Amino acid sequence: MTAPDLHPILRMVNVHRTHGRGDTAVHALRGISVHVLPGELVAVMGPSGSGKSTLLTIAGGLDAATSGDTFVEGVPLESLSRRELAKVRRRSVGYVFQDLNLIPALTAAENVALPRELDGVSARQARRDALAALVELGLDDLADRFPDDMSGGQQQRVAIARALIGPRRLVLADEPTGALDSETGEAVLRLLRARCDAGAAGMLVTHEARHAAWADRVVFLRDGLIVDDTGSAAEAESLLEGAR
Amino acid sequence: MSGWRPALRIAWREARRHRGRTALVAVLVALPVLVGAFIDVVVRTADPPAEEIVSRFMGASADAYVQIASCIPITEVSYQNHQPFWSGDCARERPADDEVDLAAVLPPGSRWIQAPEGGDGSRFSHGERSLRISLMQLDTTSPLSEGLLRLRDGRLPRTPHEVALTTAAAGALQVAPGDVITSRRTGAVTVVGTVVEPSCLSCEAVYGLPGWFRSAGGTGGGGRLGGKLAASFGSFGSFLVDLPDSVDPYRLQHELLSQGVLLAPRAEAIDPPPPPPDYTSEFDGTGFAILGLVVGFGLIEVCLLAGTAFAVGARRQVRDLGLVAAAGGEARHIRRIVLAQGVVTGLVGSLVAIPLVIAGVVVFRPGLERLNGALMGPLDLRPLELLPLVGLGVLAGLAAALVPAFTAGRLSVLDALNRRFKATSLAAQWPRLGLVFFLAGSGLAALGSWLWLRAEQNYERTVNGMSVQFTREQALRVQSGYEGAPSSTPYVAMLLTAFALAALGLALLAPTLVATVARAARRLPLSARMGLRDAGRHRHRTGPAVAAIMGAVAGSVALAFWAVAEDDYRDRTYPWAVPEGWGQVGLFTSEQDLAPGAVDDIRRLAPEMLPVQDVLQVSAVVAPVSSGGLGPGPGAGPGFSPVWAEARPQSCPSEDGSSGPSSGLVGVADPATLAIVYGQIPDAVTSALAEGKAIVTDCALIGNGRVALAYEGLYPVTVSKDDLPEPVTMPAVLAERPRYFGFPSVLLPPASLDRLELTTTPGRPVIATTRTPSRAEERAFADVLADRYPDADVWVQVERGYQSENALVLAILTAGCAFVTLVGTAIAVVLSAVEGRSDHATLLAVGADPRRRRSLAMAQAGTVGLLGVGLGVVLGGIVGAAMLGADMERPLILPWSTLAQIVIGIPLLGVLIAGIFTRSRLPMVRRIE
Repeated sequence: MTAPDLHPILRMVNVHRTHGRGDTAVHALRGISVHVLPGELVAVMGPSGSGKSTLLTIAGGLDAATSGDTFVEGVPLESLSRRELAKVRRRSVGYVFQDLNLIPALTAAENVALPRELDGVSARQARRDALAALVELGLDDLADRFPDDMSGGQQQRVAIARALIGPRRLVLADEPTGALDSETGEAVLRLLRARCDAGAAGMLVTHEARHAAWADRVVFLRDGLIVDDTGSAAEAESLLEGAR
Repeated sequence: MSGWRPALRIAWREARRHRGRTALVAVLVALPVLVGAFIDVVVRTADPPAEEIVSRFMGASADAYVQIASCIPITEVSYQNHQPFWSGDCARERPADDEVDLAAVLPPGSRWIQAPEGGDGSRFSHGERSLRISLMQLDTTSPLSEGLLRLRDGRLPRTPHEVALTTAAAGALQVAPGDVITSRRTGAVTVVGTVVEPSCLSCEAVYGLPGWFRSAGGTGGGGRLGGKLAASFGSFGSFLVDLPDSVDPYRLQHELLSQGVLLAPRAEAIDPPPPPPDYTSEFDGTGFAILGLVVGFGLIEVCLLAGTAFAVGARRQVRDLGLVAAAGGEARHIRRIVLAQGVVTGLVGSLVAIPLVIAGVVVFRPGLERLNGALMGPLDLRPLELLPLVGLGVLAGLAAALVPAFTAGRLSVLDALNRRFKATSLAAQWPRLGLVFFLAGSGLAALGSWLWLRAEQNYERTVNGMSVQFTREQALRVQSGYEGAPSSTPYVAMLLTAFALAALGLALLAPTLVATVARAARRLPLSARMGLRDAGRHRHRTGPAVAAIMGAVAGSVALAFWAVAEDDYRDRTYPWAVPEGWGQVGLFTSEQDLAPGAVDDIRRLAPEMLPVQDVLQVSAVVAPVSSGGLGPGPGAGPGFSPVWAEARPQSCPSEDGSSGPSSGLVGVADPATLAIVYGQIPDAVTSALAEGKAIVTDCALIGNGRVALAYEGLYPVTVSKDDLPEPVTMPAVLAERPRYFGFPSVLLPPASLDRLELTTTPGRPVIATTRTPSRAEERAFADVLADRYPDADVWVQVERGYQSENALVLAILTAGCAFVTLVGTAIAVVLSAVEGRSDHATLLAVGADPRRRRSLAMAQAGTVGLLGVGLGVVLGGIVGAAMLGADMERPLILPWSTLAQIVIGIPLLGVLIAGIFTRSRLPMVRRIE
């Protein structure tokens, strides 16, 4: 068995996020510490308002923590400017939302190629990369279709392809199956799982246990705090080894 | 370029996805391009090529244009609009009865026809219609006449009893080919065709072969101008000449100049030598500044109106922009996407505008030619002039998208994804900045006005101080030679800058003002409350719409202030010819003499048609001359020269601040004239006349108790100075009466005429009335006189005082305001309906009447309209007051009528139109949130 890579792609240390001030302050996250290793898919669960989506937005650099540290591939996000954060989103982090992930004016291939093009890669090269990503995910027949001409599941899969194009190794998915039927949702999660097995790291926000079952680890949030963590698969293996 | 590629791609695709919004913005952005391109193409096309211009007066085939000048030799030949004319000093006048034999001056083998010339006319009738038409002679059977006229119907005359009418004359007489028209001068002639003169579509003329009528000059059947009139016009005839091929026209030209004959070769007329530089002309920057202001103002209006639509579009697109940011797009990438939409829309609008302009010029060509008064040349498209206009359209689109682009770029990724629009710290500064700009602009306007007024007052004090030595007019000329009148350019620039600053300030304040007003909505009925709050919540679209309306209204109100003040000034300083309601009659033959028997006819006919009190004829004092001059002298020689009284130094200033007359008519103080001028003759007048003194009715013409008499010839050179008496001054007494320039301002004692070698001549008849005749009565009387004197130049003019033409200007301004207000309101209301679909669905769900939608739209229209108009009136009032504050002659008068139309009428119109065009049906939409 190959030694697992123990350098987390995502590491959050004592992260706090507070909205507003004084009596109206809302503590969305209170000292969260979590990490995601390469090849690992972590599910984040919790009731509404527990801070799941906030956790994901801070991890992806879409929002800034009030305090604490967030590292993506060892780079502290708090020290980065807006431009540098955008660069991180182009090269390191991919984000998948619940729905309306794709820009309606762009084809599937163009949506997937977008981060590369924004990164200064030539249009031709970016399209080649996008087509390769779509082929890898079995979506090459959707390349020239517009989002309006695709089903919800197809759009989500294209969004995953965009989240993983280029050198990105971290996928953050915020309830990616929320707007899909169960069969399509399973297909999306299967895809996400496969990408993580291939070496990417993923964090998945969900409030359905059957979706969390795809993950290696589940983190439970309540009122901005981690109340439980199922541990990693390696830890589970070692427990089992110990039990034998 | 790599960052722009996805932006342009998205922009183009978005434009195609939202065709309605794209079309709306494209139309707005294309408007300046449309107007500019239309003007450019029309102006260029209306200016025919040089070859065509020359053909219009020289025909299509003549080698040269020949004119027999009244001066020998000709020392200088110039061209104006390719037409030659002689100028320079005249050593010797050609005798009035001189006949030049062209066969003797032109080389053997030359052919020529006489060029048509105006100056003679007659009254023609057809049925009940009659019209005075210019009589023209042209050998239309000669090939040399080709190109001078364009045949529209029928054919050209072939015999002396056939004529062709211009379409203007044919239309007025309601004549078609085949009809017969009659005049006393020519008898009955048959109209065989209708023509147009390419350079004068409105000219009313009748063309026949040479000799078809006898010239009033009596110099033969050639139809040339004869006698004094010919001399006064400087031409004894013009001809179109075909020269033998062997002849060098330029050598011939040089030879003929010494004989007083101008020969202009066709090639030289097409490409004339450049005129000498005009060293006296000075560059006036004010005109360019105003043009720049108008163009810039129009662009700003377009950007504001289109910007409203862009702002809404960017809002609806904000989640897509958030996705781009989430995929790694930076703020510049976000801005580029919105700006690219501006570029795309601007380009689409501009490129559509150009073909529309071309089609418009082609379709509306006949109407444009009528407006132009002349035929236009071939369609003249100049890409180097049109391309910048296309660029202007792209620039306008870019400018309209600028603020929405920067606003979108400043949104955080999360806010964009969640469609949350928070006010940024920069946006919070806008109101403060707006207030600063507005106050600065208002202060600058006040300062500029005060400085301008002070400069004018200083100048006036200096001029008044020179009254000891000079008359006012002389003082103004002298002062202009030293320091010049204060230039208005810097003050105009200050006021324009102030207007721009204050307007920008109010535009920045507009969204805040909208929100402030919205807070007062609590007590209003539901629709008004919702409309006002909607305007306040969606300041991104309401603000620009209000600012656009404000700009248009401000400009119109400022101009209305000026127009009303100008009308007041013109009314006060109007130079009355005769008392109000009285009429003047002109009835002159081609020799400029009063037609014999005319006064008796007027005395007989006028009481039948007008409310006549009396028909008067005031004699004028004249100086007899031995040659030249006006009309046949009263037995003392062939002509006379008018006598004038000159303005004097130390004369009184006029009450209205105007310069006053520089001269006055001189009459004789006989009982009839005294009765006309004074009615009841003052004792001072009787005493003065008994002492042999002149009577002066205008204080500007008397100085130190004396009046100065001067003499001048009529037109350029007809009277020799040696033939005139010496200018004199004589004792005079001031007996003022209201200034009427149709009456003498100086009356000489009858006994002084012989001593001064002067005499009198009957003046123009004046009709004293008991009330002001109507225009129909005035026209009917003129027609009756014209029928009686078909060969004379007849006119009747009733003095009605100052007739303002600003009413049309004000109407156009108000219409312009209404247009911009309606467009701005419509955009805001339509976009509100689009953005508020979910609100409307909620209303429907809670049981609102479907007509509620209509009342909502009306409330929104009223909010936007009233706010925009209100701010515009404030801004326009500030600028108008500043302009008039610097004007010593024009008072500050509120243009109540225009203000009422703008403040009440226009918003009301917007509300009504919103109500008419809004469907009274609330939509049921799926709630997406």
